[in-house]
Amino acid sequence: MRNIISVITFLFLLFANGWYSNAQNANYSFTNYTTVQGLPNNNIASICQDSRGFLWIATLEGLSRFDGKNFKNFYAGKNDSVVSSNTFGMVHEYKKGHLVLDIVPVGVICFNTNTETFYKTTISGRRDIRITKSSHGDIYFLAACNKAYILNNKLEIKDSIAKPPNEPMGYNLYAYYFSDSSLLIKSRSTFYFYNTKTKNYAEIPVDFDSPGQGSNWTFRYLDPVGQQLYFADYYNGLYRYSLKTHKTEHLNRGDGSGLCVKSNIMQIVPRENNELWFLTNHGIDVWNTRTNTMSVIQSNTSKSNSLAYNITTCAFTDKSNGIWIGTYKGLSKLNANTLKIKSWSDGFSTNQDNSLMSVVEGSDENIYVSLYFSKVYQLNSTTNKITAWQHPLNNSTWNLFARGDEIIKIGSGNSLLSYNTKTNKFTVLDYLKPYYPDIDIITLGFVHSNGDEWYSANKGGGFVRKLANRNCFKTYKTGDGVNRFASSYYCYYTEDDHGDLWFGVNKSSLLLHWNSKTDRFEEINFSRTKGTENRLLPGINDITHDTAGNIWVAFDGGGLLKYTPGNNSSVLYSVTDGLPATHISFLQFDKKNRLWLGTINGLSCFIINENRFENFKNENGLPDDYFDSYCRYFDAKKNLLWFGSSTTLMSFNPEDLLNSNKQKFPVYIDEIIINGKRLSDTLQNHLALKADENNLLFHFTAIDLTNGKEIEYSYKMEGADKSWIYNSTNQSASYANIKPGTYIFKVRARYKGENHWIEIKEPFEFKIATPWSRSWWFFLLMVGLSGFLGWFIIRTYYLRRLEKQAAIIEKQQAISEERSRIAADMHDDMGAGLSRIRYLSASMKNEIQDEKLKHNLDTLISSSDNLVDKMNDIIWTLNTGDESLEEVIYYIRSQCSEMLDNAGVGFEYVIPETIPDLIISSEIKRNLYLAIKEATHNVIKHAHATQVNLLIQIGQQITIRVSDNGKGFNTEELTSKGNGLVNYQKRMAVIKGKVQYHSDKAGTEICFEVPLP
Amino acid sequence: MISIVIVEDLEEIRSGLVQLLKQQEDFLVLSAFHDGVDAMPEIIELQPDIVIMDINMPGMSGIDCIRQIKDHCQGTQFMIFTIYENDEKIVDALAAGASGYLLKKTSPDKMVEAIKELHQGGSPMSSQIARKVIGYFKEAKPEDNNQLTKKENEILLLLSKGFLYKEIAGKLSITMGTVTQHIHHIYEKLHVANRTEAINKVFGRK
Repeated sequence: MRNIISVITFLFLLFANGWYSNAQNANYSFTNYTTVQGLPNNNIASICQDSRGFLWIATLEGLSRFDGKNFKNFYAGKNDSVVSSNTFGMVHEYKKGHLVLDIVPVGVICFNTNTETFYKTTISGRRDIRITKSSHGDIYFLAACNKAYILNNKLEIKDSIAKPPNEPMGYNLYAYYFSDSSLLIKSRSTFYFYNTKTKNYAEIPVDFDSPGQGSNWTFRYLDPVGQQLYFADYYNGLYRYSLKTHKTEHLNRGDGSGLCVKSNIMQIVPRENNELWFLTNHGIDVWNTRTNTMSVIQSNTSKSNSLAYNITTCAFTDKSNGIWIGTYKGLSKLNANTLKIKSWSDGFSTNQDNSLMSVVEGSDENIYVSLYFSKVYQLNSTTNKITAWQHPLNNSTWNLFARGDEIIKIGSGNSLLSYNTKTNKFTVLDYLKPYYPDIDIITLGFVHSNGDEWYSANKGGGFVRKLANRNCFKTYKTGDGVNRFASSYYCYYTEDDHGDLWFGVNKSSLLLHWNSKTDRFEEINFSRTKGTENRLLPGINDITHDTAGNIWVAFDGGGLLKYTPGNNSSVLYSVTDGLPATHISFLQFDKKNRLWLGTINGLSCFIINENRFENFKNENGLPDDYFDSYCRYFDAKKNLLWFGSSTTLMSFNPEDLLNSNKQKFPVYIDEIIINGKRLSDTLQNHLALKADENNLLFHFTAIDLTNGKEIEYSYKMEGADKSWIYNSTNQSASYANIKPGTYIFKVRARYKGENHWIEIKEPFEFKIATPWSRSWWFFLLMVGLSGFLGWFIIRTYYLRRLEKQAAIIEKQQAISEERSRIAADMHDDMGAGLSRIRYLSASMKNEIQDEKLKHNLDTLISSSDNLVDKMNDIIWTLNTGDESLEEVIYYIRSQCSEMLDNAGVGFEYVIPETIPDLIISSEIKRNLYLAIKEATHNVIKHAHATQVNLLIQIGQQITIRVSDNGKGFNTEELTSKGNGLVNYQKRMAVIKGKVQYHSDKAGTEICFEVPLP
Repeated sequence: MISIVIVEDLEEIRSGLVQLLKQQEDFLVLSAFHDGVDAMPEIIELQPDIVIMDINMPGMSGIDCIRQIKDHCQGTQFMIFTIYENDEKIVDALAAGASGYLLKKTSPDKMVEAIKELHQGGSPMSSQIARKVIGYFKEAKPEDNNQLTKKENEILLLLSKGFLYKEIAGKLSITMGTVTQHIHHIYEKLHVANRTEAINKVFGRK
């Protein structure tokens, strides 16, 4: 009994182990993105995709947008009032072009992907927003204390749900969509079904193994097919509730169901093949619900294409069915096997030293694979099972070749191990021993198309040729008198269409050619062939030929060389021509003249007709992209290529691989920068710009999340460019100083190396306005302006003249006013002073007796009076300015009359009855008056006359004659005294008049003549 | 007895004038002021026959004083005391209500004569000035000329032609005193009728 139990236990454990040993599922490979590729932070919280196709990633330190190649990151501004933290917890597109985000610890905010700005909504500030998918779109719930809210698609609160009646107050209520009439609601630690119509709660019964469980339950997944709800508990693992049986199971170890899912289950993702993926803290648990087996996808630090990190946070399936996994240390994209590649890596006990070396097909249609200095394996094409040959010599294999029904292995010294695929029997062949007594290893073996077998071995083994169907051997060795080979052994060969053989080895860059007609060897030195002169090349890794007679050589770090024997010329292809690397490990033609190359940086297909390389790597879905051996085979019947990398054997139809790139991806203009400023709304594609807004920079991108293949662009501005401008992988185009006009900017993209361009759906149309300096209305305006200007100038000129005249008049007025002012200032003070002198003198005179003093005082008094008189005259001339002739004449006459009256001299006058209405200038007035006054004064003083006559006549000029009956004067007297006549002349000169005089003993006559205006 | 009040800011002149007038038997110097503001209420109270008012005084000008108190002293005659005959202010003062003017340089006898003449109803001034004053009044209300007597109109005409008082007297065969009296009447009539407007005009012109 104990034995049975132990056997059963053993078997059980074996089984379990067996399942577990399947756990290391190396079939999943990932492309990982971290801050190195441009992510703002490696801690991924949430992923979504917008309607345009961009992938949005919420991280601990920023929001990121991925288009398949570049990350564009968005952060809260420094003093941003909307966003106060960069810790994004959730991202989801709630309406076209707008994202709803959850920021820790702030709450809900939104982001406009077009203007690239954050903004708040009515529910901003609230946290715990949940989004679930329903049959008709997304449903949004907001958790709140004692209630939950249902939001409409504008993120406004539409309805609220009250907490279940039994539940205590003070806890958040979380709601999830279940069906059109019911919701799944969590209150504290209990789940309920809530009927949205009746608003009733029905509790979901849970049977907990032990108390305290379920307090940290979270709803994770609804399986609609199996009608099961999955709940995860941080400490206790997974619970499943069946809607049919209404029973809750705890899927835990020891449950017997074989599941062991524990740790924090962040998300449950249903996948094809009945798989459920659990995102946990230790990787991704993969549960096949049909076979009930578990495996785990984990991170492996030595493999760069494994899961980025074991602590996984979220998963997202994009529109092209790509799977994205967020972890604490980066974003992992599951490399989808869209290339329809079958691969095997399990079953070969490979490690670093024993990578796959060669592959051949046997007549039994099975595939035979050898490992480097290790075993030969058979891959059964029907069962897909890999089994190793069971034979003692099945070790240290160098190579395999097929001969009829046999598969022959070389590498075990100078023996050959033959396996008959029909009989499954092994035979050791030693017929080479006599020809290779001392060698270590046979390095090459193959069957010529004519049936001959050729062998090469090291240690100077040269070649041994076994003639077909005969036991006859021929040897070719260095130093046999005929031949001298550069290398003592050769590993690689090709037979061309003439039956000639071409050999190469990693030690040498020389190509050895055996002429089948002459049975002679010659060495080709490429540094002497046309096209690769003086080139130093490394060793040869593989050789093949094409139907045109060219020999193709793969170099170990030198690239690919095509040799044309006909004219001894060669062409070398390198990375600049499109090769992914110059370390080429194998060459293999397929049926359609396409040369497949295995390099250390991926698989490359040289499409000779189009002279371009199409390259494949892990990101394209290749299981492994490091090829360092010449493990290659083409099954022409089934059109299958077989390649072996260091760890993986893969087979595929070449058409599948090449056609996989015929995918469509959207092309968008991402940013438009006008004059250095980013256009905030890039969705509008008809823009009217001003004339000076003519420097445009376009950033564009194609969104391709699937392939990782390089995308190249070309663009064209209709209206400015004549043809498309090739931009390679560069994603921007700029135009400066665009002339006014209408333009359309177009962009197109394609996979690098492809023919087929995908054009942008909505090209950008815009118009640059003609600057106002060139438009028609400006022209009219100019004409009008110039006309106006002309009129204005003329008018101004006239006005100016008038102004000048007015100014002159004003000036004259100002002068006269100033005169008055001066006069006023002056005469009052001076007059007052003079009056004081006078009165003081008068009062002094009363008090003194001295006659002489009295006389002096009299002189003072009269002097002062005279001065007052003179000032009085000045006032007269100043105050009245230009005056009428009439006034002047009356004044002159009245002054003369008074003077003569005071002096006691008789006065007679004759003045015209009517005096013409004339204004004479103050100059004339003054000078005339003063002259006459002086004349009168002189008469009183000197003439001793008794009668004075004044005659005034007015005609063209005014004539004033002063005559007296005094004693006269003589000219010398007067001039010597320095007054009188000279003064008259001076005064008359000023006013352009003249003076005449006549004097004798009977009297004097002075005549003044002044022209009138 | 002619009662006189003197308003003159310059001390030598004021005391000199006071001395001079005190010596005359017919004159009684009631008071002397150096400031128009102080003088005005006193003049109203004292109601002198004649006020000799200096034009150029600091503070309130003589013209303004005359204007202000003329109505309160119906029986008082104002005489402008001025330095220059051609001073435009004389005309303003006369338009404001003064009846004559005295030049500060006038000899004492002539001064006494002029004061006596004014007291007797004359207008001692130069014909130039008289012409000007009347000219202002004429501008203001030309039709008032009708209220003047024939003789007054005659004199007015001659005056406007620039004849001296003496000459007018000769031409009309009347004494100079009569001439000045007529001119005085002309003023009075025109004063009463036109003072406000004349003042406006005169001061408006300024």
